[in-house]
Amino acid sequence: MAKVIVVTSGKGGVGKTTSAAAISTGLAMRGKKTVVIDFDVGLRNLDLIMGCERRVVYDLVNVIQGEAGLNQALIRDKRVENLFILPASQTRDKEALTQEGVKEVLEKLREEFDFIICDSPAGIERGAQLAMYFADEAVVVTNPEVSSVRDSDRILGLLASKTQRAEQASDPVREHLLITRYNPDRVTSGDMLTLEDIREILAIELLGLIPESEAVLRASNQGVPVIHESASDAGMAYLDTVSRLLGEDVPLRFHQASKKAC
Amino acid sequence: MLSVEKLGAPNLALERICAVCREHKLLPVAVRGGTDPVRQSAWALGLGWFAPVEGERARRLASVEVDAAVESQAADDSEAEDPTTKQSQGVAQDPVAGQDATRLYRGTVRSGQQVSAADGDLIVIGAVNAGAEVLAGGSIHIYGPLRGRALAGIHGNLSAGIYCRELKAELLSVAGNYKRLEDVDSRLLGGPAQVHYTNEQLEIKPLV
Repeated sequence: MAKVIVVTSGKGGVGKTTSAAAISTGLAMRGKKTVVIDFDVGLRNLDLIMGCERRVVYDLVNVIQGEAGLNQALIRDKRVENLFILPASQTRDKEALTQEGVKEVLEKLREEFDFIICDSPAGIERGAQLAMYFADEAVVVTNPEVSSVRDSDRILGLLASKTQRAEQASDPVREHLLITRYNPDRVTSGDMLTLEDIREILAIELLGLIPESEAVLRASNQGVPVIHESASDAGMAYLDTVSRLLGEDVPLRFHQASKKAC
Repeated sequence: MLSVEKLGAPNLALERICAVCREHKLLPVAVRGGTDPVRQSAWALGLGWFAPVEGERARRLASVEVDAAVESQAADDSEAEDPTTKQSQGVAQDPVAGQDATRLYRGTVRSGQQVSAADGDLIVIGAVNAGAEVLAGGSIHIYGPLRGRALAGIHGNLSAGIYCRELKAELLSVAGNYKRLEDVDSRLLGGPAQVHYTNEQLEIKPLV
């Protein structure tokens, strides 16, 4: 059965799009038919991170408004089989996203795909609410920093009240915590919140921990999801994250200071 | 929404007005206009506050003043009749009704969420995170860390208290008497604590 997973955070710049790109790529590499949707209308970024910005013709808003078919708008990834990208509109007004429209698109995608990854915009406005509304699971991306943790807490509150699952009182959205930009040395020196602090406040299951890494910036600028850099620490951490998302038990790494992990 | 902008009175028994509203199955959510004390008590009661309306809308309000006058007369009447007032107070203080109104909340109260027990005690089994707000007409019991705001005795009950396993509250208030995190003795932070109104001030003590 298809799973809709929203990647969200509340706060901007914490690594939602990087994570959505890496996770969807990782799932496709594991043979799952996956589509990743950019919900950030007006601030389209996912296509850049995925390296498909030159191939965008139609977008999510075109599909919702009936100006293009779903298959016309889906972009096939060049590197991995089974991976598709549905970009956001850069020119349209974000009011163009309607709940009914999003529902229809997701229903069609559910018939064809194993995983539907929704890359949420920052904030808690319409775009973010629509990205999470139909989700079965949520990956809450958090930096080891107080404002990010508070915003994630807010998002968790919305996931428990402003989603279809919450409104229909069915099983709640399954929540996963993904900590990004974690720097164990700065945690030790007290500059950053510890893994334990974050887990205690947010009180949800930890899906993964991505170390702060030069590989992430490099990968973003080259338009290659960082999970392809399987020799880099961030790449390995995302591979672990995807394994856990698929239900495997993988030990945590990159969370200890100084000593080379693994 | 209670609009008091056309009311001259500097002080209002807002708790009682709210109690009357609730008796009539009306849930006050915010107050518009009024003096600073009104604004503060609205805030202490967990109500929103809005600035007075100016221009077009204000004039429309003025034109229906007749109705308002009738209403205020009716309010005067009910206040004049002592038995009615006493009776309504009796209902609010009925211990059985108070027990019925106790609310139990399991789980984390997250930033931006508000959990309230308007007419009784509130028990939270879990954490109240920063940016969250818990309110009760009676006392508040938190079996977990209190990192957000806790307002007990919101209808003016001075004997209400706040109890928590780990005190890191942004704000503590009993019947409108409040302390901010900054006002709390840092030695009390992080430990189990109880908050009461004694000797005309908010007292915070370790919970032993």
